Amino acid sequence: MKIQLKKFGTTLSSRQLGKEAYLAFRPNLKNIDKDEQIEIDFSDVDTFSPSWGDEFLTPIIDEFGERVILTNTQNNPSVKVTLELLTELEGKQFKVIS
Amino acid sequence: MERKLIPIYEAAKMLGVTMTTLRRWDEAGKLKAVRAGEKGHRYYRKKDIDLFIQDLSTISWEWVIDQAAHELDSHYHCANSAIFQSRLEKFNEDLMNIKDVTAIHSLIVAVTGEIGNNSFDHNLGNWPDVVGIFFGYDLKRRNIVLADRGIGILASLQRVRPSLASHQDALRVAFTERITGRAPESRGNGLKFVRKVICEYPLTLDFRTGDARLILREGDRDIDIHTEHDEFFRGCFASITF
Repeated sequence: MKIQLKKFGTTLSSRQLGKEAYLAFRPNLKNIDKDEQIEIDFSDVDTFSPSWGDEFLTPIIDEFGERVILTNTQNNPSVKVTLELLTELEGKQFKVIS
Repeated sequence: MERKLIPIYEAAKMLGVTMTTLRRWDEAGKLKAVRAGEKGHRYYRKKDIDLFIQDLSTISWEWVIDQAAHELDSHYHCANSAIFQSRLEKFNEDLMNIKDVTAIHSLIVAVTGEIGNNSFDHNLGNWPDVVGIFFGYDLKRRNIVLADRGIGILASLQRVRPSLASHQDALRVAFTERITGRAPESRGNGLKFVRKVICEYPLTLDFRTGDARLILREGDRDIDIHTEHDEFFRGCFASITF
């Protein structure tokens, strides 16, 4: 499964909207195969913040762990810094595919 | 009468303040009026008003420190987080037109979003008077200002750490430790992100709450918090330059 973050907007800011995005998308994750990979694609995202990211990414990674991969994270510094911070503070290990 | 003189009631409307505030500013020399007419009423030169409006820091600072709560001009006022989000998206678009900030434009917007949303998250249901925040930006001066008349960082963090005794301690904790006034919710990364970005990229932040003031610049490693003895206010004020 591929999740294109741009479909949630291009300015991904605030916990409120991150949580809403997760809750709205959550039903799509119910019926995926047990070995299926979940690709979270950051292409065309203008701004990504830790509050939005924590609310959306954290529960998906907590549930699906190693099956989650992040793609197209390198071109946007707000994505890069947010992922660094969530790794430092939350101990999250992101599987980033360049 | 000199042309382009504006009566005080119109000036108050343009600036989003009361006439009483304008009289006080005149007496204090912050925004001088011109006395005109037979009765010597206060009038304002249009160019003085225009200059004052352009100075985001002045207008927002006067709003947060004023004892009397007054509504802001709708141009700056974000009464709820949905309005703030929509203005943040507009800011994102406007910033894209400045070519030499392309490399860090996403970080500027993210930092602005974290500070503004922090105000809403920590004051929801608890706003002491005016609900919402000031959000303004001046792309020519490369300045963004966010301010609120909320409960401030100390009061917010004391809910989970009652031992915090000063605005200075609270400000330091907010920028360095993973703590949130909304525990047990998992929150508290926003201002750490702001610090990381400001210290690693060509940005400056002037952040004030209570009588505490933090100025952060690119390359800073430590948090240096000052006490502003003469200027106390309750909420938060942030000015970002890029």
